[in-house]
Amino acid sequence: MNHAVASPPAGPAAASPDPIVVIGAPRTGVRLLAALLDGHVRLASGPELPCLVTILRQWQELEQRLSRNHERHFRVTPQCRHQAFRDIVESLLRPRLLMTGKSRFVIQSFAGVVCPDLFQRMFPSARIVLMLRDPRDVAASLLRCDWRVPGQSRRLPCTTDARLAARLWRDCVGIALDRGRSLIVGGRMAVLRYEDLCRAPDAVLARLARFLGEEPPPARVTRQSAGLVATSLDNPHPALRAGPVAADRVGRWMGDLGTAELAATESITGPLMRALGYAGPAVAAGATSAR
Amino acid sequence: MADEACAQAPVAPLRRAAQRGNPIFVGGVPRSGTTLLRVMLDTHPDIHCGTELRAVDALATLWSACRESVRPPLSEAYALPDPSLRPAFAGLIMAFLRPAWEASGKPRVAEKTPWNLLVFPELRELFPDSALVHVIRDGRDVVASRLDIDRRAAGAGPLDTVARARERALEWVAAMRLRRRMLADPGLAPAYYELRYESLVSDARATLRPLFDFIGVEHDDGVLRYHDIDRNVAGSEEWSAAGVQRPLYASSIGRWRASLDPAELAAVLEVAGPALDELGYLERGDSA
Repeated sequence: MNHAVASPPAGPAAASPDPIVVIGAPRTGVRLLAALLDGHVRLASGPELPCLVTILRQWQELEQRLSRNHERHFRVTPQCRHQAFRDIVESLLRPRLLMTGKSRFVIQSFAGVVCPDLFQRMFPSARIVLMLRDPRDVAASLLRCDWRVPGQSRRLPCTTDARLAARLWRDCVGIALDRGRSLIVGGRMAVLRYEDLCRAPDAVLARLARFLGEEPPPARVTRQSAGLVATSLDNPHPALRAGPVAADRVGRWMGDLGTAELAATESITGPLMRALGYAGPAVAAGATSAR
Repeated sequence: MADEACAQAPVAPLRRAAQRGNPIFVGGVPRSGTTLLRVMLDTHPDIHCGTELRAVDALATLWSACRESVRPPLSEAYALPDPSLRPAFAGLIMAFLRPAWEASGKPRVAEKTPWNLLVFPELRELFPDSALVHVIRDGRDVVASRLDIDRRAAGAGPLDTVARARERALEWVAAMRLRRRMLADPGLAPAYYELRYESLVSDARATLRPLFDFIGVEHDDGVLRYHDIDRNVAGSEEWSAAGVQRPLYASSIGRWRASLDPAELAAVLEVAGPALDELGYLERGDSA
């Protein structure tokens, strides 16, 4: 399968209140983009709501299992069921839109990598953005996170083991591209590299804005947005810096990953990493690590 | 914008009051007589009770999960006016019940799916004015009846009926644990009503009268003619549909005596004996 990164299609989207959905593996810049978009005059974001994906999957499950029964005996059409579940999602998002006086919501969802297609079915005019980042930087970043298993003191395995961090990236990116393939082809989903966003934020945000049908947001994160998007029930996210977008975290793996961690990461992510255009395995090329 | 088919038509005051929050929920372990009660309620001129929706337990469980995941600080970040999410999820369940109910023209709606029972505590919170009706049947008859279905499903394939009898008995015992919770919790008990299958088939009139009082509808002996209505429901959509197309019969009481072999019965009594005893089902010598 060709995993070549698709550029955001040119041309504005139809004006619509349907949300923007930012998905991606952990530590790929999902929160950064959500915070940048939250700085837009029309767009409001918020912390990740894991239950959104749960709601979407329940909707799908009922549709697959009971659609015929519900339509025949309960007069519940697919449209009714869609509207009922959409009302639930909107009941969660609307109060913040009202509070901010903005008109369009930006959903950030790490779990959304498993179902970009469901987001699009729920919100037919939604624009979905998949964040990509070099898996070596993702692994290096995960290994810096102090995330704990909910209710326990031990750390999440993907924050202590480079192999698991690499698998997490591979699985998240793989399923997002698989489930979102037709959306990319159809111009509903764009793939955005964290590295591009950090190195040329103005240009990338301008291009992204055309895909979203909005004016470009400022290429800086406000303190308020940085705090907002990082809010979490369980594990604190590493601080998102307020201020202009910076590229200093691009390529940090070169200093952060040990040789063994790098080799493990590349052995697991190598094929997908190369397909996505990230530089080939550094270990095989003889690169050495500072750690 | 809501689909036109979903839009609510103008309704009379009584119906609006009913819509606000008091559907009747019926549950019980499968093969306990919930379908019999369902068709009786549906025959009542004031109650619509269609076939099994089979979604209330999933939707109530979804509500629990969502409520748990939007507690502070997330609920504050999202400025949720009611972090319990009760109105939204009660509305979601009603969105499934409302279209057929509206079409029935009846002022009350009931929903019977056996495993509604498992979410009675959640339904109590989502619908504070609702009645939660639990149909209880002798666990031995329940297991015997469910084993019949298991045997049919297995066909010529292997089926460890003793192990399966134990599993089914465990499910029945879990339901009886929930019963105890419903009765003991002062927050749950006022909404909870239990009805014995054996009483229903032996003396329906006397059994239904207090139920109708509880759920707030007029007594109506016409419900005993439930079998006169062709509901066009059969097969896997409602296992007991065929059984409720004939007048009441009590021959299914104690059928376990002929259906369960000694090993199966021993397995049932081993796990369900105390609960059967508590409910008065055990007679002298039954547990020997």
